[in-house]
Amino acid sequence: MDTIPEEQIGEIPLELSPDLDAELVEEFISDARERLEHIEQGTLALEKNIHDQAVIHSLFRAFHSFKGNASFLDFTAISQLAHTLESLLDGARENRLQINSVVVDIILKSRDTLKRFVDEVEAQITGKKPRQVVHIPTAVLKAAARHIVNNGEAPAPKVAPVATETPAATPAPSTAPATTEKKPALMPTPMPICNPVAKLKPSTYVGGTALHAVKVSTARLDGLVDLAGELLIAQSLIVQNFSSPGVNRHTIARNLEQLNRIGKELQRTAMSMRMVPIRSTFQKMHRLVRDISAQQGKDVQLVLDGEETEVDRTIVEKIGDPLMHMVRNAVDHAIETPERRVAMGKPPTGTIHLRAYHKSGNIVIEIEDDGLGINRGRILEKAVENGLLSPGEKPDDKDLLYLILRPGFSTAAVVTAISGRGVGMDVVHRNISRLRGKIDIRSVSGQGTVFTIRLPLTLAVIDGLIIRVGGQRYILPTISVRESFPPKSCQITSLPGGGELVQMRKEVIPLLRLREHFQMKEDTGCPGDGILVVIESDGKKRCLMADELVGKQEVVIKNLGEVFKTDPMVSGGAILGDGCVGLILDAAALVHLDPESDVLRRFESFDRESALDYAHSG
Amino acid sequence: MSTLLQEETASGKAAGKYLTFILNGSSYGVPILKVREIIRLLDITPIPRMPEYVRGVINLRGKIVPVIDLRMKFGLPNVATGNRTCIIVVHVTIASATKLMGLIVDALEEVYQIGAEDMEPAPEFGKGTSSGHIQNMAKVKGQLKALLNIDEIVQNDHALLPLPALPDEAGSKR
Repeated sequence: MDTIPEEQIGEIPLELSPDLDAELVEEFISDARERLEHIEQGTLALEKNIHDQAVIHSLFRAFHSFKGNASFLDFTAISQLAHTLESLLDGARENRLQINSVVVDIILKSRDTLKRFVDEVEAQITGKKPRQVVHIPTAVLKAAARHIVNNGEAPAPKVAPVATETPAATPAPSTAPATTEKKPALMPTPMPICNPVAKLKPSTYVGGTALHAVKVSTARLDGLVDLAGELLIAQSLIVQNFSSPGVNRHTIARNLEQLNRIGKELQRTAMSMRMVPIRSTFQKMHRLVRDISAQQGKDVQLVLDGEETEVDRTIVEKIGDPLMHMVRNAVDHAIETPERRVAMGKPPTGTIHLRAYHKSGNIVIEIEDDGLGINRGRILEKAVENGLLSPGEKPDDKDLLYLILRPGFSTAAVVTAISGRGVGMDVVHRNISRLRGKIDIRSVSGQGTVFTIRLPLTLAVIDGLIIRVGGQRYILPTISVRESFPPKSCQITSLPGGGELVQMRKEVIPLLRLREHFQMKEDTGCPGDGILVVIESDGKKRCLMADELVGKQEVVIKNLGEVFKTDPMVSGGAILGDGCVGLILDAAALVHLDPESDVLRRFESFDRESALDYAHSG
Repeated sequence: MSTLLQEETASGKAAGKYLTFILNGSSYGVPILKVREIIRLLDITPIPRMPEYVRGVINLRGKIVPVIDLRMKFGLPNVATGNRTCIIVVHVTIASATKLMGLIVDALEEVYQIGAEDMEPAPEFGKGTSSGHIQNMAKVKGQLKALLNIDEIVQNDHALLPLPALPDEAGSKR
């Protein structure tokens, strides 16, 4: 017990301050419920496989976010418990302690306690219970968890005495009659900590899918219902047209045109229901910046721009957390204290710009601060320390900055209650990649950092270039297509030993003949006739040889039934205009296809001059 | 779902209704509860670099459904498709998730009620044969029908391996 350094080990009452923003609290509650479910499922998975690092990471993050959200609303009792659990899992994450039944039990118990807090907060905020100070004991759990963290082991019998003495120290204040009644129910908490895991209650795990409900404006909904009605009318008109003789073609054509229009409108309306302005997500940041900067004695202003930008609902839901992490990082680590800023010749008030705008079919979100900038030296040190780089290795600047997106990477010197544990950026990166987005980092030491997040407008539709290869049509995402031209207008070089390169305006791009790569048997058209399409992804280019460009079309992405272990270069399918399925090719996979590196490496080892000579002669 | 109408006996003999079909002259059956629908052979989009029996994907009213050719899967001789060739769309269970999959067969027969007394366990052919594909043999009107275990066929296939079906957060190991 005496080895525990933390000061906030005792019981902390939960009190809802009167000026709490009800909307924020509601968001906290719905978010918390999701995380609690996640924690429960994760813990149960962990129980089955105690070495599953992925689960440990994800539990750690769940508690971390829980802590962040709770401390943001000043729910100290909640955030302290979450903080303790986070430390516990951090220990597990770094293999300082071993997960066993005791640890699992503590996690589950804490989860239940957190759930009681959340229930209580919800009851009070919705007015089901009067606002009052609530006491839910957490000290026992915190003590048990700390004990394990400090000792690196979880000897079950030692925990029990610690635990049994604590409830006595819990005062039952007369001001909270409603909750003190619950106390007896909680008394057994310390005892089952040492129980075998087998006694844990079975979870209601239903495959990890939560029901997602959405709010849609009634106007849009009514519009959709109207359109559906119109669709039926138009359809029955056409049926009538065909069944009654003497209806001329023009009438039918007109009615079909009407049907067509309704169909398009229906699709547009349905899609628009997925779009919401990013405003609510952005405005949450105001409070965040205010609170953290006040807490740290910093002077920070947040400037929002483009809040009305409409984004797909899924994206809005999933971008909230990453943005929060990034803004938090910016205030916590990037912006300096006013004195330091003045000393550096900057205005005392730090500025964080949060921008959203549409750019070439993407939504771009930028977080710009005028703080310290990223310390490259620290990244290098840390990367060597973590074994990501070998000592003496010097990656280029871009790669170096990207290292901060790796798990467990934080250059912050101190772990604070707000951030600095290196969870932030890898979560950010993961969430954004999952949304098919990209992060760009630009940072000038001493002047600030800009994070640019590029996301697709919607997750469901892409603009595609349809190409024909053999008898099949494939879709290339237009965003990755650079240009296309007939092969006559450029030089194709065959390298000795296989592999081909295309020379185009002094650039050399590896060629991939799709028909050969797809192992198509039938041979249609002569090889010289075709079209070259240059695609680019991750800064790499590749030239594809297809038979024909068919056209451009917006396609709705569908997965391929999730049954096959498909080639990574096929990222999905889409239904084309004639009802057939077209496969969507993944530019990133095509660009990284091994022949490329082979060809380029060989090309590099080959004397450049002689390669060019070879090209001219051949 | 299949337990509702089909009683699984201790020997794994599931009495119930079976949809039977023809492949290369022999008769096979699948539990009717596994069948979602039967469609005519439509245009199939091949997926590059897949085994031959994976014919590709079809558009089933806006849903993309993979299709395998049972003839090729079972190593039977390939023949041109006739006008009775069709696709049976079945529910398969892969990695505890139910997915749709199309099976190309030569022709449909009938739906039979097959009782447990008419079933025999799948014969053992010794090593090298995969009789796990066949759940039972059934005698219907003096004719022998192989009752297929579709899940098994899909499960033990290197091309049709389950994709990681973990919840997002937990499945992040790279």
